[in-house]
Amino acid sequence: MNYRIMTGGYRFKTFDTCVKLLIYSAKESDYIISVRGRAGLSPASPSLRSVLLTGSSKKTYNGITLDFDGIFGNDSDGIILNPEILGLDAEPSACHYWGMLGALCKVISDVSPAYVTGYLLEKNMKKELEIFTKFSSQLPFALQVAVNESMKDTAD
Amino acid sequence: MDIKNSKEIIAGFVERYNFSHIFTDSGLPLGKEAAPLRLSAGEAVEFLLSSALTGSKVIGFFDRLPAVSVKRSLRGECIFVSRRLPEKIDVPTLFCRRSGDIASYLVLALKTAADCKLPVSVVISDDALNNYADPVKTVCDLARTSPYLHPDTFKNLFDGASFASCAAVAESAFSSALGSGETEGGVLSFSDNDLPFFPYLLPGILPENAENLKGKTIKIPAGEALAVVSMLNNSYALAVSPESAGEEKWPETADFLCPGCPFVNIFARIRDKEAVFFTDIECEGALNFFPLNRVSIESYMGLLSESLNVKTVFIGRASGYKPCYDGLLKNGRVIFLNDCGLSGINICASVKHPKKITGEKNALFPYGCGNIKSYSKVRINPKKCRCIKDGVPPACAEAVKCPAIYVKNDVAAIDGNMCTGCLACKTACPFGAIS
Repeated sequence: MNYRIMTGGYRFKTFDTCVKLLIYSAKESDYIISVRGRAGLSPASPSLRSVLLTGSSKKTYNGITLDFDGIFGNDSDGIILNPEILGLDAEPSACHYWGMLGALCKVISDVSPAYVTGYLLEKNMKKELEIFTKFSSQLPFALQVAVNESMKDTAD
Repeated sequence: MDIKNSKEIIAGFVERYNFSHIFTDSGLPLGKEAAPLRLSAGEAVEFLLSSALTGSKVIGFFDRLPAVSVKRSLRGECIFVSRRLPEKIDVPTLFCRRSGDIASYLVLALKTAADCKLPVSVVISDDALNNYADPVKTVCDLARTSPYLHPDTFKNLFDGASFASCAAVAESAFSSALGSGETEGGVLSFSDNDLPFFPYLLPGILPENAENLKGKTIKIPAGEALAVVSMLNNSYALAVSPESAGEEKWPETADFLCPGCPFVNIFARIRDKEAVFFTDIECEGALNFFPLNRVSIESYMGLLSESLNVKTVFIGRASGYKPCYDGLLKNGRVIFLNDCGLSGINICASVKHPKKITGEKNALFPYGCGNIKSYSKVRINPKKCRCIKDGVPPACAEAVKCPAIYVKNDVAAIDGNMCTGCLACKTACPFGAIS
């Protein structure tokens, strides 16, 4: 399967780490990766990245919006992951970023969460590990239904 | 984890090659400056060229490279890095469009600058600057690219022939490293990696395959058309007509200004909304969000030399102030942003805290864009915060676009790590919830 992940956030350090971990995990799962980035108008503008994961020869891509801080407008398409949908509170510590990353690993089932888990263990980030593990093992019911529907449509 | 982002790659290059002087545009935090150079972009180019003339190795990071006038060959290496296409090609210019090429292009620029004795410009696209790459272990021995060159080769004063021979050295280095690229027509794009663009351009030397573009219509994405056509026309008198091509669609997002942004504080408190506002600060966020007109301080002083029928306010860098402006300032008003730690300016009242900015004619604001100060942290009283409960976005966040304000449990809250305590949000809260 192929995925186009549109992602953005303004807690830059954690955002950067999460995107790097996503790229690395996807590479380990044998996806071909292409990343596009965009600068904002000011130094405080959210970072935006478009990550293409190519795993099959099909021309179609499943769209996923990974909106770490709930900053995207209503024109997002595909499966939308944001703090509100996942029932997470946006915290200054950016702990919720890890829950969202876990949810993404659950949606893209063949991207292994092992590397992220290993990274969090190595850095002794217990709270972040707990929230990552929670969402990488199970999504909220409504979201899981939406994911199943979306994947079924693409497979057809 | 081996992956680095582009800014880390550039920082690694700067650290590795021990530059004597580093300049960074305020809106482009790419380079690390040991002692910040409080200069405008034009002044920085002159300073860096002068340093390189004496043998220093220098690098400057610009939003857009201003005009460069090279009058003598340089003894030291001089590199200009920018993110926007220049209006004119004044120096050998490389175009880097992939993050994986950044390190090798910078090293090529350094080697070529050493050999051709000219400054070399590297323009890095937004996509490449906001991207990731496996770190490239590029070994640069700084060996001469041509064994036949000698430091005395460029001893003579510059004339057209000398400049051309220097540029020819650069062309030799670039074409052997990069090839000439496919630019026969069709669609050109600097920002879209799937489309071709020139790998490099040289002043006064028209690329071979660019001859095919003369008088033709080429497609350029709408957002780039002005810059590309301007660059080609100004440098090579190429009459090309742009047609818009498709561009990648990015979603609409909330946008922010920097916590403590001087412009947010000034516009939150200034009472004279009828005035025309000018600034020499290069921040697209501020220029986009506030009714600002971009001019240099010299141009503003030129405006004040004649009597004006409207009130004007100039917001600029304190490092750009000169005492000779004092006589003219009675016709206008200035707010200088203290970017250089001045204790005071004669004709300006020094403001200790951003909340004190109202009521002063000319003011010295306590900080600039690059040295925002922190004050006591701000708190929101959740019992008084009512916007979200009334079904509207928080008025404070909407007014000041500060990323330190976020929503938790249906009330606005402040991120203490980001908040600078400027209290701009307090002026916007209709319920007095912020203290």
